Amino acid sequence: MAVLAMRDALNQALREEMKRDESVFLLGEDIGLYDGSFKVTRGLMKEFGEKRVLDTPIAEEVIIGTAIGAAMSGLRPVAEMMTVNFIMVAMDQVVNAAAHIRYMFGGGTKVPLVIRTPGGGGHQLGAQHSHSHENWFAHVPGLKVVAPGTPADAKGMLKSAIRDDNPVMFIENEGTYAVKGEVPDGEHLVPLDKNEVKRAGEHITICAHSRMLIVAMDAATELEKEGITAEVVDMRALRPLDMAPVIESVKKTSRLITVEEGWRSYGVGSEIASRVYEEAFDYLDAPVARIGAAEVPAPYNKRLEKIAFPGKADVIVTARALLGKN
Amino acid sequence: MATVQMPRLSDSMETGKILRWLKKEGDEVQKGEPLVEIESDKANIEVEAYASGKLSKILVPEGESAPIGAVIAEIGGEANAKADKPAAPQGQAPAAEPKQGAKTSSADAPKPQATKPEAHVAQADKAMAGTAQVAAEAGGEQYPHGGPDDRTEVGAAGEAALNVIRRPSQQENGERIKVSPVARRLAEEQNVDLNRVKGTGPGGRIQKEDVEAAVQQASRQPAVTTAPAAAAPSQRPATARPKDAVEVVELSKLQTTVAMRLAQSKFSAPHFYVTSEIAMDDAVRLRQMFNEAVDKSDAISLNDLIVKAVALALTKFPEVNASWADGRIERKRDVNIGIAVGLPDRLIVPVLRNADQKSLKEIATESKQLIERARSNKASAQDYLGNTFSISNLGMYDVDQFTAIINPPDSGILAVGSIEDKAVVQGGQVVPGKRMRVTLSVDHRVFYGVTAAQFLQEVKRLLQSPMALVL
Repeated sequence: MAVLAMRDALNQALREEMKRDESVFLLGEDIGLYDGSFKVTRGLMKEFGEKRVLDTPIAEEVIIGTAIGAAMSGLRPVAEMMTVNFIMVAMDQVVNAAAHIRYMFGGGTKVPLVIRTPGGGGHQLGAQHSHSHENWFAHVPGLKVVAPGTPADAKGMLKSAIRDDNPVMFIENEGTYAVKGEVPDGEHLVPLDKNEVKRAGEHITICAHSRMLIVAMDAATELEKEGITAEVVDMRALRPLDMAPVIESVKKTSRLITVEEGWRSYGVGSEIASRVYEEAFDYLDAPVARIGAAEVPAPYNKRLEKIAFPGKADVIVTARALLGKN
Repeated sequence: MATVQMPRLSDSMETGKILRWLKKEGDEVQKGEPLVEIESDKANIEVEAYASGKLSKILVPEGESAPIGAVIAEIGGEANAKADKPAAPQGQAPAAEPKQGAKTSSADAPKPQATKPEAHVAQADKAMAGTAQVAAEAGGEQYPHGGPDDRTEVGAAGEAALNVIRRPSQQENGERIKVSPVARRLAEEQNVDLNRVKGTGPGGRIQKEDVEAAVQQASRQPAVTTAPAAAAPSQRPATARPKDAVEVVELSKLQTTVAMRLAQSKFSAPHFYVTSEIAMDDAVRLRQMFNEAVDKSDAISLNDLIVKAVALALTKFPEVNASWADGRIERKRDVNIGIAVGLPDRLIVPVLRNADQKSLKEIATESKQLIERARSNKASAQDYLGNTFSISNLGMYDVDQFTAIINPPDSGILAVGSIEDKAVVQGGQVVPGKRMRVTLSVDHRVFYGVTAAQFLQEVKRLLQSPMALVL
């Protein structure tokens, strides 16, 4: 098992799948000659050629529309949106076409498409370039939405996504590409519909995905020093949303914090909280606490930005408050 | 002294190459002045000095590369001893050890001060340089350009969650106990009386631990408790009975409403009761004479006489013809008498309006119509509204006396028993007499014992001298 950065784990998954199946091809802005804005596609154009790694114009609707057509024709495209902020102009393709076509044709055609795209804020890129939109996609039947937070899951879930016959929104995070972790070599598949306890604990459950998983894990480490053991559930599978490990955990801890990088309102945490109220109400000791970005367009100012996005301090203080320890 | 670190100039940059130092060792450097030209994988960028002072040492010469965060030069403090350290963006290393290198811990990061403006940063790429102290080396780089997660105070991001948790508990008027769902379930399972459990959660909420503690405490004192732990979980009395031993009766909407309102009245209005015995000989005689004189359809009942007597008495006692209204008393100008009518499946109280102003004949006719409409389910909502005082008469069922629950929003109700033939003492002689016991229920918040007694005396006077009722 090698220690790889997230970007290299993703690169490995792409390379392995392209070798395994020649119907897999990549398209996106700057992914070929320039190796990708975040270097996820490094070396792939050189290795697989310009027919399987396409540098496209800056036209997101064209990228996704082309990918949908290719997928319907039997290929397995992996489209890269440079960041999730740019996908908004292509939402018609994502929702009205990719998500719905298979249903509207009575199953007569399928859309085996992966859209890879990083979200997240905290990089002083201003309000327009700091979005986290996984909840937008997770709202739509017909899409699968995943957001891994470790290099191993990134590799395993991307490989599964490429092999899936449905459109998969594969949400990455600009802040995690350099995060390193052990990644199994070769055939390593992680299911798209299974969430997982990443750290066991007894006193409180923390749900998080993508970069916030790292924040949650860090917070759990700090909390342990105070005698509070937190169980961290990785919500990498957002749609279909696998609640089983959360419900099981809440039945044990009776307290839940959800952490997400996007805004709280109508967010991932809201959905998780509702499910918990439906399935484990009688096990709760306190209302579910939702942590998310402050309800403002992301500030550019560094200090404001820093308090606008969730950090481990938010999780720690919230955990203490839920446990009545302050 | 400040250090200059290799900035992050693009998302994918890992190392940067020094193309050209724009200042020599020993030169004075002003904050904001171009200092060094660096080549990243994306572009060549001039990097400005984030501090003023003498460029004391160049650690990475031109043509060589260094990883992000590595110290590439030092700016000494001689020329500008007060230094701009506090205003330096996070990425510029603080006055730490010069050889600190890439692994500068976040604890050393300078606390930003609002008083000094930051150096202007023209592009987002340059701004990212501010995170250079995060290690670029194996495993260490968790937040490549968001900066280290070194905030120790809760931010705006976490405040919304905290506000919910810390919201002060609302003042409840009633006796509602704040208890979490799991605590409530556990308390039921373990037979714990939540009234005896002290909540330690936010806002005094009773939590799981509180119930568990109560159970533990109880098990330590087995003699005192009802032994929830010792007994098997199956000792609930209901489970021992066969299922069909109980017939479940669903309530109609009306019955549900009546049940709720009566419970609310009984549990929120402090009731007290005053009983009096009334000589009904003259009233019975009056009724007999009245009914002999009129058509059968105009006949009056004893209850009509009582309604009239009560209505007239209420005009003299406005404090009785009143309601408790959220800490104030509302005295009603109209005298509207509710007459309780028991039907096989329900209890209803139709309202006879302005009873004080109506003749006995009118009262009799209207009561009959009201009760008939109620019996045949033809009553309108209007028929049940506006009562200011009510009468419940069980006289026809041979009861000596009883007490009634006040019918909201009234503050009094008169419970009327049967008329009995009794041996009574009159002028030293034992003679036969007709006697009726009435009991007044009073909402003690609205009026008190003396008023209740005086009101009852007036009712009694009117029924014992019933000619006043005919006027």
